[in-house]
Amino acid sequence: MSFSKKAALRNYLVEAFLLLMSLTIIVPLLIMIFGSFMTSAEVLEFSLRLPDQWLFSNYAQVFKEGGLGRAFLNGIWITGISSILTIATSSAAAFIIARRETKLSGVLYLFFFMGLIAPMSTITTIKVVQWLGFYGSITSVIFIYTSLNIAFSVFLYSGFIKSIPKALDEVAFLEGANMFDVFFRIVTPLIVPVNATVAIMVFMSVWNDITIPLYFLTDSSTWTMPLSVYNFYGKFSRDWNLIFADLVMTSLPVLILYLFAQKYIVSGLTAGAVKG
Amino acid sequence: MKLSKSLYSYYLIWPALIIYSVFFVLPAIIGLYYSFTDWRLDRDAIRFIGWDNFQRIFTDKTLLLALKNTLIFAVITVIGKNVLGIALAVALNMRLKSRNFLRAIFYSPSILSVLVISIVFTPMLRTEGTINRLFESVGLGSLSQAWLTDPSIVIWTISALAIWQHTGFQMAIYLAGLQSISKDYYEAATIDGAGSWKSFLNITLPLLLPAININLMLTLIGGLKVFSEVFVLTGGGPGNASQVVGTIILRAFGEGSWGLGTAMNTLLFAAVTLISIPLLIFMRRKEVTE
Amino acid sequence: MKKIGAGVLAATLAVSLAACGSGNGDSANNGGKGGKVTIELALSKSSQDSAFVADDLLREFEEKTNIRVNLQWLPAEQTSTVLQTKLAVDETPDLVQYNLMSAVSELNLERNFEILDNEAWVSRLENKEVLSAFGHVYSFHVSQDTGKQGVVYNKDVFEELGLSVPTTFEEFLAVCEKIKESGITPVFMPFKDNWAANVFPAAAFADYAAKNDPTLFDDLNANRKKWTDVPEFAAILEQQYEVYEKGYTNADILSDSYDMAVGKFLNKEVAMMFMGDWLIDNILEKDPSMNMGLFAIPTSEDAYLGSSPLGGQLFIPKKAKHMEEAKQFLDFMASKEIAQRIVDRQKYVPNLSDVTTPELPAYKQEIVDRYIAPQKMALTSEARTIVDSSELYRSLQDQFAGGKTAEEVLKAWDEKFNQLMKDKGAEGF
Repeated sequence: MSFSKKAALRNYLVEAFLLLMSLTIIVPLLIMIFGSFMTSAEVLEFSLRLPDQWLFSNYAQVFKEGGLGRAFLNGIWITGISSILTIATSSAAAFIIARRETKLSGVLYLFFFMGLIAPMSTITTIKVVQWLGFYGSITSVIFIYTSLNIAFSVFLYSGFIKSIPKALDEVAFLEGANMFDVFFRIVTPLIVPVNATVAIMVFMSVWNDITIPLYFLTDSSTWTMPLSVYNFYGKFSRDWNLIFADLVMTSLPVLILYLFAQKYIVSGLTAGAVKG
Repeated sequence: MKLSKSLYSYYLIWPALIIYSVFFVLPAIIGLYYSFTDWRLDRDAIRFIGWDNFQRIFTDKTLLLALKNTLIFAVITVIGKNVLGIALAVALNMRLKSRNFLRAIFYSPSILSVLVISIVFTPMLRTEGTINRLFESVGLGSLSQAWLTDPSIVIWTISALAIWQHTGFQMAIYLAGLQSISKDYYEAATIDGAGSWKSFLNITLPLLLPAININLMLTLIGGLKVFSEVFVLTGGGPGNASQVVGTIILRAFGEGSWGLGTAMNTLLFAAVTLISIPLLIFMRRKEVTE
Repeated sequence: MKKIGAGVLAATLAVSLAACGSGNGDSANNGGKGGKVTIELALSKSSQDSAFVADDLLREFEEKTNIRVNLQWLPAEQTSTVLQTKLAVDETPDLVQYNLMSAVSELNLERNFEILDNEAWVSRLENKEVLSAFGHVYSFHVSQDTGKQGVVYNKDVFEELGLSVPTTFEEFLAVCEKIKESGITPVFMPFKDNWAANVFPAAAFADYAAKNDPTLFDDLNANRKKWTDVPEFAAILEQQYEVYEKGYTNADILSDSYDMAVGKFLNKEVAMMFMGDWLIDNILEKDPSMNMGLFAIPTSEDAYLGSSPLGGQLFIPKKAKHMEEAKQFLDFMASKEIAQRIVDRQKYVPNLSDVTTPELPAYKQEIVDRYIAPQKMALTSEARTIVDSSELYRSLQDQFAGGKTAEEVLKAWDEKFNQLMKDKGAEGF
């Protein structure tokens, strides 16, 4: 067999194998999606079949009873602001750390890096927020999420910024620009891919998080979408079809974001994580 | 011309530094203090008790089991996610027709909340659940297990599920790494008569080192800090069979032993640091010499 | 240049402050406009059918007093942890719905909750005991129905198979055998929810103590006796295990959870379960034609029915921000008209002297006649334990997973019990 034929055959085999493997992912997800349209009894079989009837009413019911409209807005608000705040502060900090190669910036880098390692201590964080006087507010949650994501973001940004030639800065400075000009007018446009990556990473982790709203948002009307699952999760009754509908709706926003931003994830990671 | 360092003033670091320090570092430091006290839910007075909490931790059978489980989980997921991640990345870097579709599919579980995964999989992992039924239908009935209720395998099941969910993320990073390797190397190797396996070993792997570095760090740290996967799937059960350090800390809080719980948190932090920092330095060094 | 620097910092602050503005909807809480006050009532999602949070009652209350009640739903699995956290950092709701027993062992009742001895409705209470601890009234309920625990059973199945209520353990096993032959699972054991494994032991231990050693629990709580000192305890645990061993239960007990129970009974898949009467209420709610009953766990002859303290009571945390308004809520619920309405609706045995008992459903009347009236009730061991029993539940799971013998379960529990009591500073430990 010629070389190219061999290669083609190999490609086909690999592709077939991968498609088979991908079933392990597709099948459970399909079970969930199909289940969300079934009746409570039908869904209990947990097998891969189409629903007898497509009960769109499940979705309406979940939307109403789960207060999903409100939860959606809460989620968007919290996640959105956290993402913006993380991007703004982390890119700025990473800019300085990456450019200013002193011992201090090395120390600062390590300081931020520890954030990747250290586990979060919920109780003491509550104490701090309480001491600051705004426990229970959405603001506190936004700050907490930001603080949790700064470490990874600084890490990504500094890697990326290091790959932007300093020469660009030099030219700007020669022309009389100051640090802010360089940052905003030169660097910021160049780090758009990494901004996208960071935005997506933060979005996905904050959107899906359930522990922090539980402890820090005392008013259940400020809760986010994933927590709406608990509305159907009472200890004494579980309607799987409704739960699945809830899960599908909660996952949709992230899924849509992901589909649009797919290419940025890989390119952003390339630039920031791999080359750094 | 050397740029004056002072052109880059430290002002821009302040916002990140403040938020990070106040909401993350400060609680951690306070936690450190409480680790040495007998802070409890039901007592207002707090006494300094030195190393007592730590002593108690190291003599607790259940905690030692949790440690063992955490290590098992960490090792399995590090190996699983990285080996599979590289394999998938290499496969999906080839010119396949459904490449983009496949990449999206394999990445998709990692964007879902772990709650979603557990809710969907728990019923399927029952003894008469979908997975076992599948095995039986292809004649592999002997492979059927009590996936989540057999104490000897439950932590392996949880690890497998974690690999299923998150390998896509590692794959994405490896893909990024692969795409930055210049094709010239491969062409040169082919000209020299190297087979694909040889070029993989001698070109791909070494040049992938930065990506391997990052992924090892991320998966190792994530594995040691595991909490939600276990909590949502089994709550540490049955009994205490699948407890990990993360869930044991929650148990301590639930019992009202908050000083003890904070001490465990501190210990976890120390352990993760001690394991990952040397690894980081080692890998950095390896990278530089390449 | 400095201006731009300030600009960056200001921008960051502005973003945060904008978020701030939306976050503090709590300002509406503080009734400053001389109008509506909003109080927070925290309760577990599993209590969603609680009488106190019925829509019409909340609306009426709001109309009458201009106080709005905001419900904080807590996920069932996390209820105690979240409540503990909030109480520890003094960010408490104004009202909490919980049960007294758990409030004592998990929520540090004395430190966190307000004593209600001087409320107006206290003088009208028929049974203060179920609302009190440490000598004071801490909670409120219109009902004095204690939880009753034993064997919930489907009377129709028994009738069809010609079975009568067993009074000894041998008889019980024989009944199971007959039911199994007819193709129905005799006993449903949902031990994924590990607390369910302690229903049988808790009631049976109490029965043993009541008949053989009345001061047993006092001795255990004062460290005069250990859990491993009582051989009958191990025998009881082995009895529960025997039911499983003999194949009289569902196959996958460690994967099956409590929330499947109602469905299993409705589908006639199971005939019995070691559980409390609240399960019967839940079943009847879905299908009032079901014929259900409750008998005492027959570990001994003529066994006593287990009783646990009342559930679903309302508590007021000491640090409640709207103490007065919270107390008004209780007054409203305690008023003759409203209390009567609740009692009639839920078929409770009322705890207020001027509220009449409605006609009780058959199974409840039966329990009153068979066990309450002749004083054949015993407070379960769990009710007598002032520390968290979670480790006991976990050890029981271990037993059913094949990892521990009955003796080992008791030994592990005794160790943990000791440790927890010591941590609590209990006398004798």
